[in-house]
Amino acid sequence: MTLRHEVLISFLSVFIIFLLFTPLTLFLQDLAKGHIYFKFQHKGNEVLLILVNEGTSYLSDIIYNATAQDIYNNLYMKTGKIDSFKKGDNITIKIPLKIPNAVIIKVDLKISAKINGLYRFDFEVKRE
Amino acid sequence: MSKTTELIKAYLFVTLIEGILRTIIIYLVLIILPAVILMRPIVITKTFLDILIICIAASALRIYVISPILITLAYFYSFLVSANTLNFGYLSYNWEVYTFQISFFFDMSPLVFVLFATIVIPMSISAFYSYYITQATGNIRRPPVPLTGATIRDIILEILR
Repeated sequence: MTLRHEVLISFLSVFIIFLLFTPLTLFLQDLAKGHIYFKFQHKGNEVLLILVNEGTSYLSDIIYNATAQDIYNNLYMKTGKIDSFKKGDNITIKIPLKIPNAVIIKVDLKISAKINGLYRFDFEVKRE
Repeated sequence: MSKTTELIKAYLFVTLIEGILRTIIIYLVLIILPAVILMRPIVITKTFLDILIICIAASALRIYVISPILITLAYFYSFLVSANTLNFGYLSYNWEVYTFQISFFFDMSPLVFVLFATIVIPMSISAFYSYYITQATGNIRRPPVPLTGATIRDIILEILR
């Protein structure tokens, strides 16, 4: 049996995989190192979710679905679209509340976005 | 030491090196690479030993049709182990960034499909192809060659043939 073909194919496939998944790796590294992060603020009768991007990767065609749940089990939802989210951008998502100053027990943010304009991924960020 | 003993030693050496090299390729490409891309911990478990045994057996039985079947088995087995470790692409991350705890769910099944399509399938085809090519070209009648001890060059050429 020959190993030559296997060595060549493995080089080629590693190259293809890195080419395809480098944007994803960059995005995950940005998240892990805290270059892309989320802030949560509770002001009076609204909940603010702030997305901050200080990393190298950018997101585009973002469709988000934010939900907040208060201590009385009221569920508040907010959906929207954002064109792009690149380095230096701040996005503020405001979720209005029925009961002002109610204690928020859960925040859930579902995002569907294109990473580096290449492929669409869905992910979910939660805080309980 | 007789020439025959040297040839047997060379054959064993080729078999062992080929098995180890193939195992390293399989492990690097199918287990370490996806773990690096998806930022998962890399662990070397007894799977390495399993693959090593299958690969050495495949190298030792190179003249039989079981050899490409064993190689295909090694690739499928390590792919399944890798996919199982990565939960078939459905991953959850738990990172604490500033004061925000991020529980992060990610559907990475495309990577698993790409791994299968670019590594497992081509490698299996290559294993069968090179086996049949070796069979087709190996049965040609040739004049007898004098029995000589194998050099390191011969061994390397045999591995990369």
